[in-house]
Amino acid sequence: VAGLQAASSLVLAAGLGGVYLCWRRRAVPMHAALLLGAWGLVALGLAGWSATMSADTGLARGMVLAMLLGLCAVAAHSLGLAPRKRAGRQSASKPSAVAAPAGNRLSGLVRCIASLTVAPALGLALAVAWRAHGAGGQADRIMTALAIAVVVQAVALVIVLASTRPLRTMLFMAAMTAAVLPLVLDVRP
Amino acid sequence: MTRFANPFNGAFVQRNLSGHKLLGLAAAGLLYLICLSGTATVFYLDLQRWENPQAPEMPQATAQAVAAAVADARTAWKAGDTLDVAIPTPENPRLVVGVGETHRAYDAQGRYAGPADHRLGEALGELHYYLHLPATVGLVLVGLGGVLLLGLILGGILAHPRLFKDAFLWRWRGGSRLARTDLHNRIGVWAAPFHLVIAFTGAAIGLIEVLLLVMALGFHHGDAVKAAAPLFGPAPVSVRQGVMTSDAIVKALHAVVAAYPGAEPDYLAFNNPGTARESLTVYADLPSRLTYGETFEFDGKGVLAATHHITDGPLGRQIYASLYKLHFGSFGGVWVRWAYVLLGLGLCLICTTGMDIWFLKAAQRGQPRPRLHRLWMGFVWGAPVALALASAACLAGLAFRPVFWSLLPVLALGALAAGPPRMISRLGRGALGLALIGLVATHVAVFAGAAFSAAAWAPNLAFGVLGTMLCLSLLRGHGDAAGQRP
Repeated sequence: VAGLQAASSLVLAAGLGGVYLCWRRRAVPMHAALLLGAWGLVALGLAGWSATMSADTGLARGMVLAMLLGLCAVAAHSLGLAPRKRAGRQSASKPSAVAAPAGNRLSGLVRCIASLTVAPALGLALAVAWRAHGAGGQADRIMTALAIAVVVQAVALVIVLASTRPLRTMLFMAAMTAAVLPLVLDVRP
Repeated sequence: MTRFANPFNGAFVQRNLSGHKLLGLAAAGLLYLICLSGTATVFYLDLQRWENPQAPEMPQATAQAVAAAVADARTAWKAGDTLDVAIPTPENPRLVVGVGETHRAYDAQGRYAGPADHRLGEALGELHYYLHLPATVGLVLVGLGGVLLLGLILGGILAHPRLFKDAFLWRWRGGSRLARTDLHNRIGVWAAPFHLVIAFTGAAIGLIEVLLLVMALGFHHGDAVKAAAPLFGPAPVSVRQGVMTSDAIVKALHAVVAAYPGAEPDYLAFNNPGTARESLTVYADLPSRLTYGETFEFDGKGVLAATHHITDGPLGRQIYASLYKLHFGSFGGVWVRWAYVLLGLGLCLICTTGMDIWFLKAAQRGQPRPRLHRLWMGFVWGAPVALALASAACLAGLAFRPVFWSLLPVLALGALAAGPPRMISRLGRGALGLALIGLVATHVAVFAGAAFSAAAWAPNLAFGVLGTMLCLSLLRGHGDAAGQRP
């Protein structure tokens, strides 16, 4: 097991090294194929980790290793440990010319209300509706409902806060919640 | 041929950036405190050992020793107290019986070896779980923190069109704002799986109570136990068979190992202890699995009544039971826990750099907010200083909560008078360094020789080295390339 873990770690490191080299030299021929191959090695390394023990634990450990290696690569590149043949890319990120959504007290209030009430209500309503009418056994339905409650709330937050018309967005979400309510009320034990 | 518009156009990105900013500004303080306390509790079990360095340690304990320890602990038990046992494991090589609010340590033969209360570990854990608020309110608030963090991650990714183009770029000499923006984005991108997992599992653990409450009201006439049963398994046995004998406990522990070869019983909880309806719940770890283990229900005679089938039951139950190890990093030994500490500190850094970027942008727009910036810097440095000082106070016998919650506002407000943010940062580093050294000194003063035992030397060394490094960092020159870093 230890040998396979070591080999998987090496494959993972090689894959991330490949991603890094592709990032540094975009002008090489077959760049896309090389990049795909590098990510393939990363996936292979993770699969190797999964094979060394139960898939869930192995994948989790492999992911932790991959994240640490990625951050090490960022540090090594930026702190000058990488070869300085090319001093790294210059970012083309510039301040955007597009103005941020205009905000006033009313839109701020609406965003606040939507974030604190409508988004959680929508998440909870969809979750309970799934628990009542979704597919699968009871435990599966509860777990899926939990995932729905969390993810829907988070996505609703992102949408309402990024919206240029928060009132319209909030009303739309409230309407969705109202549309789901009959499903919630029509529960089955 | 139809051409689709690029969804990541400037307006889309700017809208998401604006939402990301609003959410970040609203939640930064809460998330920073949750992330910091979470990082501190990754080594929760090691902290419990550290604050009781004199307790005996052993790789394992026999079922007879566990039964002997329980028999002894019953002498200290009073009506209404809970009764539970932590069995030695590689992560926590101690035999400790909890009786009500107190904990008692035992040696490998089950003989009493002294008190083993872990007030510091519990206080840190409760800070992360509940922010020291009433349990349900705090758990839900922290769960909502997970939802906010998830929203920030999703919004951040959508607001970041150069996710891969800048994948390895950190222009740390490029001036304050650029260096912080790059650091914020790089940690955010490369540690995104960790952040997503922490946010989702934290939110799920926090919000499950709300969901189960709603489901209990909607589906089970308010019966929360019935609502939770599909996820957590059957309720404990409640049959009138008298108080469990030592033989019954030994029989139960042997039955677990026989039923699941490879399972390592690590925790016992007595239900209705000391009454005629006493029964036993045994938790056993399966080290190769991500679930928190398997759970077995025994009756008062030590006969297996039910298995929860957490490791081989419905997928939903297995997934839910995996949330805990994933959230706390207890699935891969010491190296994964250290990785979680580093990634957790990275998450704290994302919170602080995010706010820094906003302050720097505001200043560059000609709308500086110096007082708010100082207050934030005071909070950022004050929180770990208050944690270290409250921990030292706890070791010395004082209560953790009042010390921590008194110090935090004092340190944050004190920063208003401490000069510019850069000075606050220097003072904060120095204060944290001294607080960590003071923590080690307090530990040595309280426990003397035991401060260098197997359970204590490594944390003391780590705190001492970190504190010294922080103090030494003050000796470096004030200047840097940009000359304006706070």
